[in-house]
Amino acid sequence: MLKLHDLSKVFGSQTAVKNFNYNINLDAHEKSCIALLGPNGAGKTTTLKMLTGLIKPTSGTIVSDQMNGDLRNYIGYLPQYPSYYDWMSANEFLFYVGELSGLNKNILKTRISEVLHSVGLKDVGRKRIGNYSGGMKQRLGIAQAIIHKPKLLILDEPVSALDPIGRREVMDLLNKLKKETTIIYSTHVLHDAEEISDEILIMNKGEIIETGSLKSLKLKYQKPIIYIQSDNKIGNWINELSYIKEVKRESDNSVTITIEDEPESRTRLLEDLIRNNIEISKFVVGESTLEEMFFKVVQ
Amino acid sequence: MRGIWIIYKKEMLEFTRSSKWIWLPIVFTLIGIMQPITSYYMPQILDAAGNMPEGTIIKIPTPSGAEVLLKTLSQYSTIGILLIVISAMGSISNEKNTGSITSTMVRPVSYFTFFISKWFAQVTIISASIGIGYGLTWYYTNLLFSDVSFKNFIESCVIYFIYVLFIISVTMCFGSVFRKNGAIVGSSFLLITALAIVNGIFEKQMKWSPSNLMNQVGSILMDNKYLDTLALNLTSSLLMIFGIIFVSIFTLQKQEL
Repeated sequence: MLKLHDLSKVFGSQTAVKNFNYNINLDAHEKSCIALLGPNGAGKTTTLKMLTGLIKPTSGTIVSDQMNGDLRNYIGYLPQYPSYYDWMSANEFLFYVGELSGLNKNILKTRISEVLHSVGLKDVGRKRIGNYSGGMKQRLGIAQAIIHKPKLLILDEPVSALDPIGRREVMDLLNKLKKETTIIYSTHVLHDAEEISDEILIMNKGEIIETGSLKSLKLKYQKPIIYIQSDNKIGNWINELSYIKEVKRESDNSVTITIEDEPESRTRLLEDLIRNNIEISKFVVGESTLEEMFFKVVQ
Repeated sequence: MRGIWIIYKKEMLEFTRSSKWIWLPIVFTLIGIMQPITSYYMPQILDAAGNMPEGTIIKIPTPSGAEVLLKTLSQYSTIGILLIVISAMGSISNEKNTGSITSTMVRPVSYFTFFISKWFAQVTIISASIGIGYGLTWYYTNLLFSDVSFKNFIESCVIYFIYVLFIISVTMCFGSVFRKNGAIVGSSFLLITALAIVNGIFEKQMKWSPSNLMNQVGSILMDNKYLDTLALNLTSSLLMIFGIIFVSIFTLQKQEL
């Protein structure tokens, strides 16, 4: 367990993070993948940097019962804008950071080829990093973060700067890695969070405003949504129906409605539509997306 | 200790890759041996350059070997300082600017280790370059002029080396404070030259100053003895170097990455 107690960070007069309380589970059998969500400037990067020890919290503590001494021994970190020594090859760079993390030379050699293999850079390990593409650099960034088998992998926006192919590769890699280590990563791409994370932490203006498993958040915020399109005009009577929570008018002939999550409300809506002589051309039942949930939570 | 060696090795590899191990010794050698060679051939150069009225007799007293070496060292303390500053300026600031410093600092490495290994790396390449350049100059001086003893050569070299340590430390300290290379070069050069000028004006009051070390070098080369303030001069210079290193590490620690 890594306990973040009441962390806060103030830059000058600006509060970047405040009252951050969270426990990260590091137990071997309960590995989790935590997504840190939030709009730009929410304090995600600051929080992650405090975790890595690159910046010191203004107040609050980070303590762990499983990590002794320098926490950096147990942490792998991929910065938002990773930068390496362009004149080094991937092999040399991994050797350098691996040695700094205290790995033995012989172990390191096998570990490097292992890691390069798992990130798919095995064939280009001897090439200078300066010649790498953005996606390759990002994968090298993950390689350097996992070289010393950290207990906690911290990734700051691991996929934001990548094209769809690069993003796919990195997401697959993370899916593989989350079986081996606890991952905490920040993103503002909700779709990614939905795909691989077990736990979601939403931040806004430096504070945690919502936490929970993806399932519990969905239960809490996701509501059935119905999109109706008709050939004739839909009158304002629809706003007054008792089982309807929210009506968003798209045009005269179409509306998006959020309804009570009860089985009979859908039938009642259909009945009401027929009673009002609406000539339905489309009736789409769906659920609000994570994105809508995000907006709701942040606002 | 292990960390210092690892980062030091990395720095050495970078010097090799960026050809610094080639150009820095060459430049110091050129600046150095230019002095004995031009001094030796000066009459011929003036003769060949022409523009002298017919029948002019050029009489230039042949300088002693010690004078030539001293002139080289005074070159080293003007153009040489600029070279040292240029060599050391980016050592810290470039890593901060590109962000590559984070890949070192997320490992269990202290700022002391980070700074001191880079400092040793700069000291290594700069003193090696100066050693090669000054050594070759000494060789040519002995060949073309009167002999300068090996003892005097080594002693002047060591004292100048302390001054070089001071310049490297000042530059790297400004490198820890500023991010822009222009600001680093400007402030380092300004501080060092200002110190040298003040030293020239208030010689009596500035016996402790690192730039006074150049007067020590002059004295050992010309008069074969040190000025009587050597002990004070060396101690205060070394203390200042330690102090500057301490301030640099402290500033690095205060900054947030």
